[in-house]
Amino acid sequence: MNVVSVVNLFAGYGPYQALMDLSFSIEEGESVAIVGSNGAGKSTVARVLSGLVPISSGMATVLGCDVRVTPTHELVRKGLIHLPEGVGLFTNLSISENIELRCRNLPRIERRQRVEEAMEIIGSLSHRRTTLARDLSGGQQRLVAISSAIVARPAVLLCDEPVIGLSPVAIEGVYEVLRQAQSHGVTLLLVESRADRVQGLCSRTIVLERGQLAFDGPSNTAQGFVANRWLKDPPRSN
Amino acid sequence: MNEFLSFAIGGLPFACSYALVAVGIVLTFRATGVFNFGFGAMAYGAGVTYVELCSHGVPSWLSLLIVTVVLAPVFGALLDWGLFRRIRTADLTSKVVTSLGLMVFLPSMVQIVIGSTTVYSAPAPFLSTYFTTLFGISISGPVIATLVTTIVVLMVMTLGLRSRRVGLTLRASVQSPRLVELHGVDSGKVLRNAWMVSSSLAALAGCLYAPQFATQNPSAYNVLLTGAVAAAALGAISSFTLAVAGGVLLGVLQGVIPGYLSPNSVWYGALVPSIPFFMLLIMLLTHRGFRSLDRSKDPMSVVEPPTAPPGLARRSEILGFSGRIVNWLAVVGLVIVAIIFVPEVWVGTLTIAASMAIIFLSVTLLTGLAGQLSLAQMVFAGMGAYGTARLSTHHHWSLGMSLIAGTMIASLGGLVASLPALRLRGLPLALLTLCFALLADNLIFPATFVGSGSSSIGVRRPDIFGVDFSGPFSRNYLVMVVAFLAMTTFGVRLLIHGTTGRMLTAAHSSEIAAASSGVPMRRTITIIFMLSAAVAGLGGGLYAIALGSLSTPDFNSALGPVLLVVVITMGAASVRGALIAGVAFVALPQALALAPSRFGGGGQSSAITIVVLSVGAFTYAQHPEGIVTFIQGRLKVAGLRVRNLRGDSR
Repeated sequence: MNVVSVVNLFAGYGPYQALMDLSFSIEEGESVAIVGSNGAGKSTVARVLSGLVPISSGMATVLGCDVRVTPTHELVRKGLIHLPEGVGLFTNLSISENIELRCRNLPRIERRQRVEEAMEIIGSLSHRRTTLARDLSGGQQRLVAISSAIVARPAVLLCDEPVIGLSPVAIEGVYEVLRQAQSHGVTLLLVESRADRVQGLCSRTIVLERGQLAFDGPSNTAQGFVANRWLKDPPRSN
Repeated sequence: MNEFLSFAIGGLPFACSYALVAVGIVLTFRATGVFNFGFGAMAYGAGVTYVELCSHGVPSWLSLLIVTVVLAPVFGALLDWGLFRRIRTADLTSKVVTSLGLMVFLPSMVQIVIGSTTVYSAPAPFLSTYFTTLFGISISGPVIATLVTTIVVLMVMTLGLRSRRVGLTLRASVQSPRLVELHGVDSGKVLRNAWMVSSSLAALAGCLYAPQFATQNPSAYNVLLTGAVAAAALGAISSFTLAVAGGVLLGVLQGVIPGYLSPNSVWYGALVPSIPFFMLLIMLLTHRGFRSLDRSKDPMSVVEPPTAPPGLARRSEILGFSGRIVNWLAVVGLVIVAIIFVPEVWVGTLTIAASMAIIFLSVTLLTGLAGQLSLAQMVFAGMGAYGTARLSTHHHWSLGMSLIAGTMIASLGGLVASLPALRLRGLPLALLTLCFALLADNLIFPATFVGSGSSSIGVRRPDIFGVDFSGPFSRNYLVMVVAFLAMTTFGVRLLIHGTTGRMLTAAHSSEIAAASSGVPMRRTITIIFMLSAAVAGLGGGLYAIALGSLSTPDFNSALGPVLLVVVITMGAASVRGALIAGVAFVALPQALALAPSRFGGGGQSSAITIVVLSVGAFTYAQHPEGIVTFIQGRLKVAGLRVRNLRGDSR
């Protein structure tokens, strides 16, 4: 069953078209990476799917909802979680408040259980639950964001460059948490700039070039495709 | 002890009103990021509506319900839908300007709607004739009713805000409405609810406040706003509990202190009204929370970028070099024709308009160029005016020397105001300058060594080289003021297009980047504050000479926000905006007064002028360049289209 479906999609910012005639679909429980150079339209795909960027033409559905007519908060209530590029945390809230915000509609006892569960996933920060998010390092903030998303039990998790600017150790920490999300049966859509990083995590990779689909296939062949392609025609920002 | 308690109880109605509005301010600021300067005006509108309903025979309790439960939430929802939803991702400055527009626009609008007749007070909503005695202290029914109503409302609010569903969502919404949507929250609904609740709080405060005064006056509600702002400042506009505590503390102090002072003492008239301003001043200068008020950045600003700050709103020149020459020649020609041919009755108006245009140019310097929001420009103008008047009339200095000294006194005022500006920006700075303006209103201008208490000071006209400048319709004096205006305009243009202008524009983009590029930030900000105050002082001095006599209301602090909003409407980033604003601000009420009543003539001309000239504050987030530059841009686009069409037809 398709949980994400994109058909002949055109979208952009004002007069600038970031995505052109894009089509793909993702099945339930699948882990897919969207790879491309700067300006290829990777983040725009994530923003379109969560309703943050309007569609010019074409169609996109998430969990059976047409994103053209469904507001962002309704998509989230249906089970989509989008962790935007950068952090995706409220820096003026504490760690536990950020986690509670994701689960605010649950009864109090269950909400506390979810906070404990998230703190277990984060591990090293369990004694700093009242610390404001702004006082955490970039890697720690992303761990909190992903763990709070996991305990909210999403059907589809959209992660936009979760490891950008992180050290190799922090990257491994974030990927470990994403593997835990996969083990919960979450459909994962990972936006990344490097094809080699996603091999162990995603079975399928979609490569975008200047807003258009360049490759859609197994991750182990995607790296070779990207390397060959970029050797012949180095990527340029649009 | 009984005496103390009876004085404290006397201050409780004020305490309740302060606490309610303070909670409304904190609520809207935390939920929407808007610091609503318009709450005083909203309370005034609610108070007047309550009084009007009572005067038409509606029972007072029912009037209160209609205003607070029906009309105020609808008004709040309309404000959200028509105004604040459109600027939810704008920067703090744009939000402050919009709320200042509301502060200026609403009272005038209320006056237009209800007419110019005086609105008398109404009975208290509940227990208006009840009296009781508790521990030997007599307490009136309205005080009990006000206290109980406020406690019940604040308890309900506290319970609601303590819940995770409401409280957390509110705190998250202020940082990023987009990100909160990604957490499954309908941010539009959160913002609308916040506006509806805070409008009801302002309306309740207005209805409880209205019976305290014999007649309803917007200035009384400005005092309510200032008290509430001071109360909210106790917790750096983020704590509901401290806002309520601040409101109660202020109200009780205002009840107790006058009780122990003689009504004839200097302290009674000066200190008591200044208590909120001192409290606000101390909090602004000492509370660390204010320094980080504007530093919370929206992590989703990439998706919906905020508008450019005012300094960056300056566009490249719309006209070419020859076009600019023709433009300025046309302006000079028009001024010469106006000076020679204008009827005598309009000479005085034009003289005052030209002096006001100089004062408006000070806003161009500080807000348009430096991007600092100052609500104290009228105080600097007042310093120049009183300095000129005092030195020329009481110390018999020559008028030229008095004018120079007045300008220097205003410049020193600017230096004092710039000291906190070195640490504060945006909203805290605007609040600080408001504080400065209100202190000047209460302590500086009424002092006998500055003004003459309640009486006015005469200002004589100059007599230079035998040329007569006397008389209210002196064309010679008009020429002199226009010459000063031309020189100031030239100087401000040089500053905008010179090194200082470039340094300030760079600082607008990023203060850190500008400082690392060698821009001396502290020195530049101090200089621009002093220059701006000097320009305002010069305009104030010329204005005082044009008036012929000075009294305290001529430089009322309430005019500060009006000045800022009018210049922003016309265009704070260009000298044209200030010049047109000055002429329109003075000439439009005169012209409207002469017009038939169906075209807005008669007693409402000043209110209509303010309404017309303040609407630009509501479009500031979308068009920070102002009406003048916007129209010029549109005209140029239309001209280019016509030219292209002609080219195509050939």
